[in-house]
This record gives sequence, C-alpha cells and structure tokens, in this order.
Amino acid sequence: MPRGFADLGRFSEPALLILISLAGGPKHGYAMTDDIEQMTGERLGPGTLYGALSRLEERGLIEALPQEQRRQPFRITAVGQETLRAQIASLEAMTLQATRRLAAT
Amino acid sequence: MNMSMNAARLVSLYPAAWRERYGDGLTCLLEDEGLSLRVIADTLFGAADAQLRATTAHGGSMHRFTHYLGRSGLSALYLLLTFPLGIGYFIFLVTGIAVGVSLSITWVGIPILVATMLIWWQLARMERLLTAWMLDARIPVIRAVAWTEPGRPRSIATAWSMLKQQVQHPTTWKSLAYLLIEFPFGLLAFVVLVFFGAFGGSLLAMPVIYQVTTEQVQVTGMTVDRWWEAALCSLAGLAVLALALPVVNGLATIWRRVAESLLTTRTEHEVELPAGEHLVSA
Repeated sequence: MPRGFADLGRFSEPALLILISLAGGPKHGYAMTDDIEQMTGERLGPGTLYGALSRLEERGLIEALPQEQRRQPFRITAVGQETLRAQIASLEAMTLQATRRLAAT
Repeated sequence: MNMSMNAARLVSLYPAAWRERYGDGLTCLLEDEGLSLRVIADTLFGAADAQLRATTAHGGSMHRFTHYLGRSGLSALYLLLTFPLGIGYFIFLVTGIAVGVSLSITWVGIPILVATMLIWWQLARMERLLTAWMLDARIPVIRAVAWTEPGRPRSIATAWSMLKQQVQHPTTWKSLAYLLIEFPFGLLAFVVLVFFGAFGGSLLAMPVIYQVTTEQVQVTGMTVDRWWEAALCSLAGLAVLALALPVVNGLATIWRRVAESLLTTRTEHEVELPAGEHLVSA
C-alpha cells in the first residue's frame, strides 16, 4: 500500500498536482508550473514547487533525470504511479459521496 | 544578469546540501518565472522550510543538540547515583571484609569472605549494566565462573575448584577496586553537581525569588533590587548551567573509562563483541 500525502501538510496538494503533471511525461520546473496552471488556473510558487519536489523525491515517488542546460527534469516512478492511483481512487470515492448527498437534498 | 544574480542570492538562503541537489533547477525556474513579489515571498518560505527541515532532520544540528542534552542528562543522573551507591558499596565491602578477616581465625570468617566476594561480583555486574546503559560504556561480555555444571552433581570438590577460579579471576579484584573508588568519586561528582545545580538554578530562578521574597536578595555581595538585575541573574544562571554540561560530560567520560578498564579483563574468559555493541552479561 503506497504511502499517502497525509504527512506532507501544506505540501500535500502541490505534491498531488505534481504527480498528475508528471503522469503526462517528464517535465522540468517551469513546464510543470505551466501545466499545473492550465489544470487549476493557479501558478505554484517556486518555493512551494521545490518544497514538494524534494519531499516527493525523498519518498521515491519521482526521480530526477539528467540536467538539460541547468534545467532539472523529473519523472514519476512506479511507486509514484501507484500512489497517484490510490489518491485518485479516494478522491473519486469522495466525489461520488458528495454528489449523492447533494442530489438527495 | 541582474535577475540571475538575485535568483542566485535567493537560492543561497537554502541549506548547502539542498542547494547541491536542487540549486540549479530552482535558479533556472526563478529566472524563467521572473522575480515578482509573490515569487520572492514564496521562495523565502521555501528556504525557511528547507532550513527548518535540515536542522530538525536526523543528524541535523537540532537533532544533535537534543541528543547531546539527553546524553548529558543521563550522565548527570548516573553521577548523582554514584554518591549513594558508592557509600553503600563502601560500607558493605568494608564491613564484610573486616568482619570476615577478623573472624577467619575461627573459620566462621571464611564463608563470610566468600559471600562478600560473590556479592561484589554481582554488584560489579549491575555496574556493568548501569554504565553501559547510562554512560554508553563499551564493556565486553564476561563469562562468569560457573558454580554448577549441567549434568554434574554438586560436590565439595567442584565447588572448591570453582572458588579457586573465582579468586584467580582478575576481574574479581579489579571489580573490588572499582566499587571501592566509586565512593570518593561519587562524593566529588555530588559536590560538583550540587554546586552547579544550586548556584545555576537559584540564579536562573532569581526573577521568581525576587518577586516572592520580602528579604533583600544578595548575589556575591551585590543586592538584587531591580527587575532587570533579576533578569540579568537569570541569564547568568543559564550560562552557569550551560557551563555545567561539559563538566558533567567530562566527569562521565572519566568514569566510563574507569568502568571500561576495571570491570573487565582481557583474558580467555571474555568474548569481544563487534564494535557498537555492548551487551553485558556475567
């Protein structure tokens, strides 16, 4: 069972967004920020992005690729994909529950 | 050029190890994003977060500091224990040996001496555990003299040979020396600890003492009659207590060395443990 993001505190949401972004292929910081902005309409700050990236790498959910002209690309690992699947499943369950409850009122 | 210099300055606020790993990537990102107020604020938060994580992580400076405090506390506790324990050992040994020796003319003294020796062997065993646990002493395993052997009936002859072994075991006599010198050492440690504890502690508590007492408070001839003087005393108390830490650790190190050299002997009776382990049994 992959470890969730519960212990990441304020970095749990950025961490989830980063995993979703990297699920679409390896990216460096700027490309990730752009991608996440397109998904959510909000731009992650560089400090927040790298705070989440370093935690994700520590947990082995993402890994660094060789640098491209000082830019540092990352990609999602197999464990990262597992964790993302588990997170999405729990989010789906929550969404379903919320939809049912709203429909009942 | 200017922008990249500012980005580099922001990144320099991160811990060195972190910069080594992510510094280039973050610098590039900052250059690409542009240094708006929002970006700078977010990066400052990120740097503070990384610094905090580096100091509180395992092996970080905060972790090392709390570990040091914990070890010093345990050492101080052991040093305080050496005083009552040392007195106890001293009284027991002096009484046992004196009574045993003086009665040995009538043969009653011999069993008393043997019992005293067996008990001090057990006391040394307890000290091995205590020093290993509280002072981190590295003491190899000692194989005790076996007084009974499985499958062999107890007889006077085997008991006699075992007793001879016990008497010839160098650790028996080194343990006796250890237990006897624990008394003067315990006394010294007690005096030092009480001095630092009482002096530092009362200085530290000066703001409270100053509030509560109606009498004049004097410290080394000077009267404390203003709140800021009391606060200054508190700071001095903190300094005295901080100074006590290396003193406590120094005393503990001396006693650890004593225990390591006197509670064991390098003979064929002993089995050396791999480094880092200090299991004790005897």
